[in-house]
This record gives sequence, C-alpha cells and structure tokens, in this order.
Amino acid sequence: MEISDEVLCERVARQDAAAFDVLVERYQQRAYRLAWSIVRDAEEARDISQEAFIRLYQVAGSFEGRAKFSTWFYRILVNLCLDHQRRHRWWHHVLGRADGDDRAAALDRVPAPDPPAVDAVLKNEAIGRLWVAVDRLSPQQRAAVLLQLDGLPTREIAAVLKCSEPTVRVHLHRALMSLKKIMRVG
Amino acid sequence: MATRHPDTAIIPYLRGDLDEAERARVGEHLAACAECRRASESFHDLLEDLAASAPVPPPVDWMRYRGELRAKLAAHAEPRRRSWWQPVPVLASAALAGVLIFLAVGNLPRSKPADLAAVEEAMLGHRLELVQSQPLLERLDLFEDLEVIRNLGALEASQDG
Repeated sequence: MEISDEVLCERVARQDAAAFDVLVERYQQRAYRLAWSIVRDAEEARDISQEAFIRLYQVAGSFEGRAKFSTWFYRILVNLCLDHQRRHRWWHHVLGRADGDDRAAALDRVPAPDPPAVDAVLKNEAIGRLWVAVDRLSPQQRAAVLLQLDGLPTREIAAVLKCSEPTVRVHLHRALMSLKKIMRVG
Repeated sequence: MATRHPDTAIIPYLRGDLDEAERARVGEHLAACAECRRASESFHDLLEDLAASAPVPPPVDWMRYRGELRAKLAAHAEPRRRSWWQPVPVLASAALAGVLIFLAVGNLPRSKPADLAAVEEAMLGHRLELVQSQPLLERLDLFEDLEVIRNLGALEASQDG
C-alpha cells in the first residue's frame, strides 16, 4: 500500500531523507509545472520549485495535518512564486518584458490543431491570445486560474492563497470576465 | 421580485464545486435566466479551452533536478563557514592579544615624548650658564662614589665579621 503524503511529511519532519525523496518524486513535476505556469521561466521555475522542497524539508514539523499535504505544499510553492513575481515586477517593467522569457516559446508549444485548417489556425491564434491574456491577469487571479486548471477545488485554492472561498470565486469570476473581454476584442 | 444573479457561483457550478443546496439554486436560476445561461456557456467554453491548451513547460532532466536539489539542501544544512578568526579559542585569542601588546609596547622608543624633551632642553639651556660656572656639577656622579667611600669602613668590618 502506498504511504500517504501526510505520513511521509511526518517522517520528513524526523529528518527521514528517504521519505523526502519519495515526496520530491511525487511532486517534482507538478511543482515545476505550476511554478513555470506562474513565472513563465524554466530556470526560475526549477529554482523556485527546488526552493519549495527545501522549505518543505525545513518546516515539515510545522505541518499539522489540518489541510491536505498537497494544499500545504502548494501554499509554500505559490507564495514563493508570488514573492518572486513581486520582486521581479519592477525589473520586467524596466526591460519592457511582460513576463518571463518563455512566453513566446510556450505559445509555440500550444498543441497544434490537427489537421491544419483555416478554422484550426484561427482557433490556435485565439488560444495564443488567451494565454497572453492569462499572463496579464493579476498574480492572485492568475494563480487562482492555474490552480483550478490543476484540479484544485475552490476550498483548497482558498487555503493555498490564504483567502476565503468567496474571494477565490471573485478572483475566478473576474479573471474569466477579463479573458472573455480580451477574446472578444481580439 | 428579481432574483440576484449568482455571478461568482457560476464557475464553481461548472466545476462541480458547490454543495447540493447551492448547486440546485444556481441550476434553477440558470434555467430561468438567459443572461446567466449565456455567461455560463461562455465560461464553460473558456474553461475547456484553457484546460485543453495549457502550455507545456520546457522539459526537465529529473535526475539532474534531484541532484541539484540535494546539493542545495546540503548547502542549507551545512553550518555557516566560520571566519578565519572564529575557531581561535578565547584564551588563545587573549594570549595572542597580550603578546601583540607586549611587542608593540616593547618596541616603543624609550625616549620621552617629544614635547616633554623639548621642555627639558629649554630648562637646561636656561641653566647652562650656571652649570658651566660650577665645574663640580660636571662630576655629580662622584657624589655617589663619595657615599661609598664614606661607608667603606663599615663595609670592610661587615665583610671581616
């Protein structure tokens, strides 16, 4: 039987390196993907997700088991991402970068329509615009959208973002209204 | 009476994220309100597009990723490297300080401070005439010898005894 994340976290609190390795293997892809979807830079996403694991190792003892481990860990990760965004916003502003370096490349990796047809190309362009618009949402709205895409229920998104469920609903509603408006204009 | 539009509940409704009572209430509203139904349909399409088109991050070499993580963790766990002077115990530091002070003081010139020497020279210069007019004063060191000569008898007696 697979050991639960929560039990592994308790073991990590007792400096169990093997338990830590298991948690890293379980969460490395999700952590990297979520960090990347927020900061849009592969190197920074790698650093931030690794930093989240280091924090996990250091503060595993403070996990009280009231929330799911994934929620608790995502909170660490998302906080690191948002802190990173806050620190780098002025720098991106100075450089005239909307966000990280990978955005254009990311749009290239949007799955291409198959078979290629005019409608599909137009749809692909619209999808590209959609993700540019996602990148322009406020950090909280973007985090809410990305976490809901990751399958987190509203309650857990609220726990990760340290806000109430009604606030998450407002973030999601406003985010989708903005996206809708941009898509209509485009 | 007009019903309030459940704006912010529509997305949780589409995601199946409402409790039964709220779900029923929103469902009833959507059935009756064309405006909210249109909003619901557009949100539904947007959520589908977002889910189907989420950009894929650049691939990662996970072995390397975990290797880097282990190295970073080890660096965090390692106690901070001490400065060169920290490992010296307190007593050794005190002894070293003592030796340095001794050497510094020992190497100081024995002469009096320049100011004091200048004052003495000025006073001597002032009294030079007096000193030169009294030749005996040039041999003041003899007075010490006279003291010895005066007590010579007592010294011999003590040695004989």
